[in-house]
Amino acid sequence: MMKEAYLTELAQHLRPLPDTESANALAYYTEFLEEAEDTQAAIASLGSPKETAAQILAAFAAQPSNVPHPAAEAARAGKSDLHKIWISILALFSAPIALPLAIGIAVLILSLVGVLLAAYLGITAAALAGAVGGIAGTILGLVLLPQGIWSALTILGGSLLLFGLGLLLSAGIWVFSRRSFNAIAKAVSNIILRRAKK
Amino acid sequence: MAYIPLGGALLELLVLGELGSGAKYGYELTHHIRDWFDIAESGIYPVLRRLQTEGALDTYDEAHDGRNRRYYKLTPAGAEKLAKSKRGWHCFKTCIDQFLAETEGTEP
Repeated sequence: MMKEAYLTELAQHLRPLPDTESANALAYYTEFLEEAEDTQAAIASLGSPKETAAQILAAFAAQPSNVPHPAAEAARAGKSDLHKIWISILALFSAPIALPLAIGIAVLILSLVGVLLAAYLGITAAALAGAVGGIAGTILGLVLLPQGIWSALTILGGSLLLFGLGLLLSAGIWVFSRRSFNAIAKAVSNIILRRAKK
Repeated sequence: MAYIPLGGALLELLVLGELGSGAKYGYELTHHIRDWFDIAESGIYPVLRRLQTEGALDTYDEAHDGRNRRYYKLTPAGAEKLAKSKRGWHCFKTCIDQFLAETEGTEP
């Protein structure tokens, strides 16, 4: 295989990565092949572009997401974690393992993500309903205030409690979903890394 | 040539050790490690990149024969990591040796 063909194919396999990451890896391998006295031998020692890319993808997905830019990362955390799961799946397919197994694992991961998403949506809806109900109850309590102070105060207190619980639950889900998506991405890339090393 | 497959922490130790004697560019570094150990060349880049993101390595570019060479060098944090890994390795090596020496006597 020619040097240019190798690098082009490598670039194709690296497409799921952010631009800076793939550019960095490509620069490294371009330089590597240019330095080699015997380019063909160097290409042979690297292994196929697919295998090389699988290692780069797996290593990227294994990185903790909060290292480089905490603020920017936090802003689009949900999205980038999903993105990592996607990269893990792609890395899985390019890793040198039997395709049926890869498909099985990919389906498993996707369904896991689906179940988690559904669970989060359900709980979030319940939490939001609680919060909204709390607001409505609070207004009701205020309206009823002139008619009977004690029952109105009871309604008011209960509603505020409901509102607070709803908000707490929502915040909890947000944190938990981020963690679990990160955990899935990490677990998958660990599997790939272990397989890539053999 | 090593007969035990190298990966993860050991490969990281080799890369840190290589750079302990000064900055090196990718090909030079890989080539030297390959003279000693039977490792996949494609395994080195992920280690370099990870160490770089961790802040253990810094890079700088230098022109050579009309091309670019990217040099990797240890940061103070990287030098500390190397010292720590070396201590860990010496302990590990001694423990394995002692373990093997002890189990040798008990073998059936």
